[in-house]
Amino acid sequence: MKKHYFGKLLSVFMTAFALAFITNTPVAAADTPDYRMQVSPSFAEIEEMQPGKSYDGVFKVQNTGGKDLDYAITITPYSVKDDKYALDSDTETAYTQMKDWITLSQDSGKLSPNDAEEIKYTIRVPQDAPAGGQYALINIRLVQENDSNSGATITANKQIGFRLLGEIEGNTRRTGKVTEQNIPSILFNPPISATSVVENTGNTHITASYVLRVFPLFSNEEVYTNEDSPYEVTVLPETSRYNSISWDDAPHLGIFRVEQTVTIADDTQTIKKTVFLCPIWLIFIILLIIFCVIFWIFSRIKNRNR
Amino acid sequence: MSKMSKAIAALGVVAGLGVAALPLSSYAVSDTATTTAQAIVGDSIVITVADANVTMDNVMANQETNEASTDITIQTNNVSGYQVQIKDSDGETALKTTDGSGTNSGIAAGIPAKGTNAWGFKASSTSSNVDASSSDAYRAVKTSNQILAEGTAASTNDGDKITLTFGVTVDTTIAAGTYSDEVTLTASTK
Repeated sequence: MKKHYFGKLLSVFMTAFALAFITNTPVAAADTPDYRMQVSPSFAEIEEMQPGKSYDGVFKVQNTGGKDLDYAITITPYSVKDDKYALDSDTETAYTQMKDWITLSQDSGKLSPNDAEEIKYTIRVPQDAPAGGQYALINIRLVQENDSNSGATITANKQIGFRLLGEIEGNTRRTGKVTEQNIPSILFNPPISATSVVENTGNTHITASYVLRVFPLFSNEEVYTNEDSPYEVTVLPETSRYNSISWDDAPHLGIFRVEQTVTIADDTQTIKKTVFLCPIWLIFIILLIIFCVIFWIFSRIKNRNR
Repeated sequence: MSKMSKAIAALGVVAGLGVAALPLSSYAVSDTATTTAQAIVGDSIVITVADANVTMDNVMANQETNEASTDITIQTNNVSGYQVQIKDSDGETALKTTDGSGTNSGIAAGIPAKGTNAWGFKASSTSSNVDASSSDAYRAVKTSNQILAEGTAASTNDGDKITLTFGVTVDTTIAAGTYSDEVTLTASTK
């Protein structure tokens, strides 16, 4: 009898064990999305290109999703239209001629899950190519079927832009300046941040670097700095670029001395400010207490005069 | 040769061989200690798509904004971060009728509000790495790129999730039917 119960118990246990595996399977599968595409590297920089010569490079497109992935590749100009660096892939400028010099080993493909394909690009620099920067964006678009739905349907095509930064040798100018810096003095919430605008006045791309340092009001011991790995962005020729850098883990209350140093080409500028960080509700309470104290003092004076 | 002499000679040979072998051993140890392992990690960017199509169903005239969302996840190890831009895929920004049953002029791109014919987009993210402040409120889709969201540093390991929401409102001048448009989202490193 006991053996009979033990057998039943064992079979229940085994069934539960098997079910646990079965129910776990979809959870594991859910970790991998159906459509996920990786491009590596995300950009390439080719310097000292000479007119009349060809340059080759590769990037890899990888299907890291769970379903077959179709992709299509197009080449567009790479320029920007404002200091926030909103992409302008439609306007052709003197710096986007490279778009017409590029040929690709293939302009579409299909990848099974975990498969990858190397796309080779060749840049044939014409003899009359101007000295300075040349930029193009190679767009790798995920091709998906559009379902026909009722109502109002918007199809969101997704693509990754592979940035190609080139430089033709010759009379290149790497010049730039810091045109604006700002650190707000009063903040109601973290982070502590600093903003700036830099301008590339040359004819080729350069890197702008940003260092933020934060000190307590009465101490020279840094509480935050990114000095060891400054934040860097590329600035295209004849453009201005806005940037904001911040200390995200700043406390909610404190008075700090904040320094931002921005470097572009030969221009380095530093701004220093004292920043008061305090939640608005605390300011309100402090003001209320001050108001109450003043009211109390006036009341006392008024009572004495009586 | 006495036994003692033989033993001393044997010890001498062993000692000599030992001394000769010592520098070699020391050299070998020193060589191992200076070996450096190096890995050069390239940068990459990954885009994950939840849904290709976003449908705002049961859109009725003179009602509040009818919304529908999709998630875009960006993963990158680029320390400068990334940008996600949005633009209309062709030169026509209006939601156009697809089955011929609707109003030909379609629903114009704009900021949706009750009683108007407009559709727009907005974005949000819970990731502290993502700045989607420029897309807090509804904006009209244009034929040129607009910044949807920006990553201010390399993404988190699981990726930065950005929720893209489309909204539409119509009045009674829009006939019942199916309307659609395509937008292109471009993710690139900074």
